Order: sequence, then structure tokens, then C-alpha cells
Amino acid sequence: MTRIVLAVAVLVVIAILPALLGGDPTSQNLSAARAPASWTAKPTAQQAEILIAEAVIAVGGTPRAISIDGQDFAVVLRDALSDDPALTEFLDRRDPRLTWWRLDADGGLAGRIEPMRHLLGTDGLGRDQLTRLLHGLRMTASFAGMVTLLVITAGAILGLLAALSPRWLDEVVMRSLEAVYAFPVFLIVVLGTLYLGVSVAALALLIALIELPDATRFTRGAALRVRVEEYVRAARALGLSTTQLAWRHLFPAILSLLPPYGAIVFARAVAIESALSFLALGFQEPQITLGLFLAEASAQMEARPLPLLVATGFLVLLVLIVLILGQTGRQGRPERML
Amino acid sequence: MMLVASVTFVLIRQAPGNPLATTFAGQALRANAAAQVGLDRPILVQYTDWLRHLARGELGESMVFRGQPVRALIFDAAAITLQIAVPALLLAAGLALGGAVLAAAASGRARRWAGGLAVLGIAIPVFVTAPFLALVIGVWLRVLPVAGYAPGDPTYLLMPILALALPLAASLYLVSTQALEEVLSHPSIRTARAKGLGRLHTVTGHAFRAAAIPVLSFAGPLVAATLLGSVVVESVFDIPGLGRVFLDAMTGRDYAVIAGTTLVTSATVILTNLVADLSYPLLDPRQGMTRETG
Repeated sequence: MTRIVLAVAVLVVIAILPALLGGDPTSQNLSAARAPASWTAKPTAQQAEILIAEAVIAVGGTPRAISIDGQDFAVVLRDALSDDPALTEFLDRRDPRLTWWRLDADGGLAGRIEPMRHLLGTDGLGRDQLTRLLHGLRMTASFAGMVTLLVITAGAILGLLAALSPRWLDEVVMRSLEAVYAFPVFLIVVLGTLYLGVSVAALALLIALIELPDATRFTRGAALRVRVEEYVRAARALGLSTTQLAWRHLFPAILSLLPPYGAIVFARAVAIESALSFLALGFQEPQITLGLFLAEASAQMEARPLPLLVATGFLVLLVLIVLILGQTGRQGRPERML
Repeated sequence: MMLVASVTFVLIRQAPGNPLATTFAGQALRANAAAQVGLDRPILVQYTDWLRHLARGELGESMVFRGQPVRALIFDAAAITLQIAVPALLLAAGLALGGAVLAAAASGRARRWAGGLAVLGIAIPVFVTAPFLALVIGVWLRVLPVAGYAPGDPTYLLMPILALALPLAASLYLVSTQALEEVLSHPSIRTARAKGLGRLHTVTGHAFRAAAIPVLSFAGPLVAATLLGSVVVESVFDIPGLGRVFLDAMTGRDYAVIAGTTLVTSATVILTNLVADLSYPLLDPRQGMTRETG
């Protein structure tokens, strides 16, 4: 029970964390997004001194003395630097922890120590990676959740329909669904997005379509097994109509099988989404999803492994949560004889 | 199969974008080029023309790489893809079935862990595991080449095969454990155990064969997943296979190549399904004409 509460809690955090952070993932100003105070890691005085000295040396100056007063710092130089605005601008951009660089009246340099904000660094456009990752996580979670709900609902209805209907209708439903298998997945998505546009709803619909045949087979198979049980035959003999039979006996019987299957659909939706994002066929910048983030981060695996590791960790966490939630509805499994 | 190819044929031509737009700048030039390739004709004429070609085993010419016959393009690429896909499928099958048998005989806790691991295996994308493999094996250990393809050199294929096989093994594992689980609740298993058969022997000797049918019905989806995965793997490892050809054709709107690759891939999936369906009675003679479950 605690596991379930924990899982739900993490999902809620995933949902509201980006809102707490503020900032719009599509804007280029994410670096200006508010970061919660608990994340800020101000460099210590000694660290700051080294950072400042490095920065000054990088622009050709020789620091003689560095004084730090709270957030503000001042550097006394051996030789005065030229009064060039490009110089301070360069220093401002060089290290996000040191900002507000300016030249003193007596030729020294002054500036301010910023709390460190970008825990995972920034992307090529200066957007905070952690913020993007959290937004992407929310996007992927809601997207894959949408796919799972669509697939499970439609799959259950179609599967029950196929299992209970006359043979010819069963054949029609199953064969037409199997035709979906024959289409290459990318073709479905590319053609679909050309007509429907690249929105969350459109992509969820398309991925759900791809997953539907499998889900229908699954529920149909389960329903067919239940259909021959004695209590179902008895109910039929008592004169229950087919829809009543489906609703009262077959649906409750297969209900407990659906959550674990849903967890697998969820995992597959995440996988397909990221494959599409990787090939630039699915979601596109400035939209951000876990898949897009992973695709970006995996390209810089050697230079910057941290974003990739954290993102993969989030992915694992998300899928594990869904797995745990999927296990909750499980009951009444057949006893193993082994 | 024909239906799939035909639907693709029509839909892709209706979709925005044009194969000639990138190579020919001016309006007049483009119209001229369109007339040469035959894109200015009514769609029905184009379609019947394509069907006529198809009946002779021809797939037409590429519209972006002028003069390249599509059939040669696809067959060359498919040969490369097969070199990766077939060993990957075999490897995945070995890993998954072996794992499933072991898991069935193992304790409940180990089974739950393995199941969770398999779902993660599905969700972690190939393009994360693939560069990771490339980094560890190719860059740090320097055992295998990092990426690329050289005809006749199998070392270039080993890593793509492994990267492709892992997620396939994960999904096949889930299907086969589920099937085994089902069979293991059958009374015949209790009888076998009562006769004094060991746990592992019960699974391999009795349950495995009975579980084969639901596993076999997964063959079609598995092949489809292989083709999907190979597109990504080929793109990661820079291999000129079928996936790359399809992807290039898709972005360049190379109608003839798209129709051709679609035809080939859907034929593969449908044939797999057919073979799987036909082999049910071999595994289980009861599966004659009755409406089967699963």
C-alpha cells in the first residue's frame, strides 16, 4: 500500500514540478526561470576566489588582490585593463556563476557571485537543462498515459466485441486490425502527422492505433477463455443478452488483467515516442519530451554524461512507477502447480 | 499487402511536399522535371502504370536519385538489414526463451525482478543503449569499430546486432513468461512434479511446448518491431540499410522508393504471420479448424 501511495505521490510531483519552476519550455528564456532556493548552490568564498582569478586571467589581466563581500566581489589588478565593453560582456557570459562584471574607476574589476542555477548545465541556446528535462518528463508521462488509456479502453471494447460477436464479425475486426501491423510504424506516424499536425493528441492517437491490434488480441484471448467457463454458460442459459453478458461477467473477469498490460503499453509508448523523436519524425523543438531530451543528450554522451544519466534515471523511475501501479489491480491469479 | 502499398501510394502523393522541390528551384524547371518523371499525370494513371510495372517485378525509378532503379536500391539495402535483423532476432529469441524458462523455474521474487527489468528494457530507447555500447566497447575497450559499415566485415555488425536484440529480447521475454505462467497452472504440471521431475525439467519438458503457441503468435509483431528498431539502429551506427533508405525517402518524398519499401516491409510482416499461423497445427494437433484462444 505504501508503494502505491509513493508512486502516486511521485506522479503528482512530476505533474506539478514544472509549474513550480515557472518558465515556458518553448521560450528561449528558460535560463531566467525561477529556481527553488533549495537547489541553489552558491560557490564558497575559496571556490569563488579561484573562479574569479581564472576569469580575470582568461581576459589577460593579473589579479593582485580579490575581496569578497557577501555577494559582491572586487578585484585589484596589477595593470589596468582597456576600457572595452566587449571585455565585461565576455566575462558575463564566461561563467554563469559570476555576473555583473564592470570596470572600477581605478581600473579594477568588480562583479557579483550568482547562486549556481544550472545543475545540469544549459543547452545550445542557453536554456536550463533540468527545467527542460522536467517539462519533458511531464510531457512524456501525460503522452504515454494518454496512449495507454486510449489503447486499453479501445482494446477492451474491441476485444470483447470480437470474442462475443458472430464469427464473421470477429474475423472482420481481427483481420482489419492485423492490417495495421503490415504498415511500417514510421509510415503511419509520418503520414498521420502530415494530416493531423504534430500535436500531443495527434501523436497519441497514432501511437494508440499502432498498439491497438495487440491490445485487442490480448483482451479477445482473455475473453474467449472466460467465455467457456461454466458460470458464463449458465448466465447465457438464463437468458442474458450478449451486452449484459459482456458487461456483467466477461468485463469484470478480464478487468484485473488490464493494468499489468497497460504498464507494458505505457513502456512501449515511451519507447516509440523516443524513437520517433530521435529520428526527428515525432515531437519537434520547441516541444520537449523525454525522448527528445534523451536523443539530444545521447549525442553528447562522452562530453556531458550527466544530463543523459539523470534523464535515463527519470525514465527508469517513471516506468517503475507505472509498473507498480499496474501490479495493484492484480488478484485471483491461477495457482501455479510448480 | 497490395492494400497497404496502394493506400500508401495514394496518401503519400496527396501529402504536402514534393520530391522535386529540393532539386529544382524554378517553377518552369520543376514542371519540366515533373513531366519527365510522370508526376503531372492524373493519379489514377500513375497508379495503373505503377501496377503494370509491379506485375513485371519492377518498382520504378527513384525520383530523387534520377535513374536509380528502386528494386536494386531496396534489395541492396535489405541485404544489409537482413545481416543485422536475422542474427538479432535469433539472439533475442535465445536470450528471451532461455530467460523465460529459467525464470519459470526460479522463485517468485526473482521472477518479479526479471519482469521489471524486461519492461525497463522495452522503455529505454535503443539510441541510449546503442551509443552507450559504442562508447564502452568501441571507444574505451577499442574492441569493435564504433560505427559505419564495410561489406564483408562482420565486426561492424556485432554492436548493431546486440543493440537491436536487447529490446526485442525484453518484449519476447514478457510474452513467453506470460504464456508459461498460464501453462504452469495446468494440472498436468502437478502430475509431472508428482512423478518426481525437477523444476527445470518440468518447464523444458512439459510447459515449454504448450506455451509455444502464444509465443509464436507474437512473431508478426516481433518482426515489425525488429524493422522499427533497425531504422533507429542503422541511423545510430550509420549503416546503409533498409531503414536508412526508407527514412531518406520519407524526408525527400521519394514516392517510388516509399511505395517500394512499404511493399517489402509489409510483405515480410504478413509472410511471418502466415508462417506462424500455418505452424500452429504442427505444434499442437488439436489446433485444427477450431476457434483458438490467444
